[in-house]
Amino acid sequence: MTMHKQVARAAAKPAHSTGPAAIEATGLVKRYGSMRALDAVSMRADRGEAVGIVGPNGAGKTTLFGALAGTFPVNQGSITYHGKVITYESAATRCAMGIARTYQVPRPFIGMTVFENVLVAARAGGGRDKAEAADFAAHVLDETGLMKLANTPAAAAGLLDRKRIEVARAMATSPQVILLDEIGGGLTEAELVELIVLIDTLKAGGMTIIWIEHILHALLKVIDRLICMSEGRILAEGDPHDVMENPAVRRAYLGSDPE
Amino acid sequence: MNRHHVIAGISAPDRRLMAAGGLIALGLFALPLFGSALVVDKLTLLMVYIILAVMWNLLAGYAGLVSVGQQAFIGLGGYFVLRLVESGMPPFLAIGLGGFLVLLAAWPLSWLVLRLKPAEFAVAMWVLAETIRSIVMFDPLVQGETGRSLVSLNAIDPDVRRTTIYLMAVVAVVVSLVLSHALLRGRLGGESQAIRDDEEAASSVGVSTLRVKRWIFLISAVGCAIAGTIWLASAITFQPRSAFGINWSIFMLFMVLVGGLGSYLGPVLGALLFFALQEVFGDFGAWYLAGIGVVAILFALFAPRGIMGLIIGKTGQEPLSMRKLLIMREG
Ligand SMILES: Nc1ncnc2c1ncn2[C@@H]1O[C@H](COP(=O)(O)OP(=O)(O)OP(=O)(O)O)[C@@H](O)[C@H]1O
Ligand SMILES: [Mg+2]
Repeated sequence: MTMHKQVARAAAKPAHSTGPAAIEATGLVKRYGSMRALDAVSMRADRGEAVGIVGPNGAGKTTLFGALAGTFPVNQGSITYHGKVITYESAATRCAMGIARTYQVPRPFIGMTVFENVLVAARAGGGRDKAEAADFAAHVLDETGLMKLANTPAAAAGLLDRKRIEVARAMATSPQVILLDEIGGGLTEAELVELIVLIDTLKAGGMTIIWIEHILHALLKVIDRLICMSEGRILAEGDPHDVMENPAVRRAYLGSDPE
Repeated sequence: MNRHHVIAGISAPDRRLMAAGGLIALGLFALPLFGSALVVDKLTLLMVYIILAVMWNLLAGYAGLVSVGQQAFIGLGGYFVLRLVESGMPPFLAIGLGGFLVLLAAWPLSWLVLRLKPAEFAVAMWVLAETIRSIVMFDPLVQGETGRSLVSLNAIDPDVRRTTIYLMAVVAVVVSLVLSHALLRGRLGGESQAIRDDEEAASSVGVSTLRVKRWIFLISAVGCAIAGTIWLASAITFQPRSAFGINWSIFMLFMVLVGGLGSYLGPVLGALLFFALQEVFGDFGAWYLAGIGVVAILFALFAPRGIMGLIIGKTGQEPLSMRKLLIMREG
């Protein structure tokens, strides 16, 4: 690539970017019947960047994660990962490439132990062999505070531990981009602090983080940039405090969910 | 000092159980030396049941693929053997090759059925079995409902025939048990259970769900086919109605649910119970089916997790469990 082209490409992108985004969506549309859960959504996250997503219930935040992770196909638009088009890749392939997601309503493998939940992720998505995967899964269990539950059935885990399993499973796939969907809800202040430490560690390791969260003060401690969604569209994005000051955001978001 | 975590190896009690299993297998291999013809024939049938139960459990208990159409492969295995034998192949070679041909047939079929939702899959498998049966019945060789005997088997000395088929059955059981053990302890075991529990979540942690389901589906198809060919070889006559009968699915369902769905040893125990019930009540005709039904209902009501559930309730642990336990090791 010549110097000239590089400059041209960089100029076409927002000021914060250098090189291709870790993950980038352009013009995503996802329809459910006549309703557009995603209505031409474009967004990006750079390598090592932490992006927060807020928005009222039903704004399309979780749907955006589904689209990015390949949980379902989109009706329109494209998705790239480090500059490579992945719009038509399967969820499993995207996970193996380095995109991991958690589910807002946890979906543990209830016939397996907590350790087995994480192990399968370390082997399948993380591509680690048996011995390496076991040790790495144990490390992740340690980091997410699940070690004492390792050999207990995931079915017996309460909601908080199920959320931890979501995060642990995603981490076990050794992602470069991690999509966290409301993992902070229901946590005590002390637990929130632990969670923020964990996310900061991931970020320090160079991971790209996209975090949907209603608990603003926790979110603001971690993120570099904030996106506000409403009715399938992006209302505003940029510096977190600027976004929160945006009148349209205040109307749409704070109006329905004051904090 | 270096601490790291590993998956626990097979426990001492489980090792003893496996050694006992090995001795039983040796005993079964030696049995034709002293067992009567009747006992050998009966045990051949028991082996067929064990293979079927293990295969159905692999499908439903580990991969969440509930099929009521595995008779498609039992019947197809039998049909292929009939065809091969009629074209002049030595019968025992044909029995081996039958399983391989079913693998070739099951592969394209897997593309058809594995994308379906669970309930659709169950029904589709049954429809598939019925469709294949109808097609097979068009073959003039089969003579519609009448069926056809493996005449060349009749030409073999009955004792040699009986013993050979029996030994093939024992080998098939040993291979099924060893193979499924290795499979379930390995990567495919975890991945298939993840799919069974939540297919979408499994794909988001990187499990190639179609690939995993296809492996399990094909293994189980071949296993059922081999059981089918062994059964045909001992029954000698191929009749489409019985070879492709839904009875097979009912038997498999019974053995696995009563034995313990999703446990390694459960299906074997279920097959033993089913075999015993058949021995005791088999002469009572319709009453026998009613008896099987009553036993199934009793289990559903009082021991929904089957014989294995009762054992776990008593001893607190599952013998030969496929659980992967995390332990710490120093040094
Ligand atoms: N599978 C589906 N079928 C039909 N409609 C759906 C489906 N999934 C989501 N929707 C609709 O799409 C819209 C966006 O839903 P989504 O879950 O993405 O919202 P969200 O921003 O995550 O909300 P919340 O804050 O409540 O989690 C909602 O109106 C929802 O009802
Ligand atoms: Mg949501």
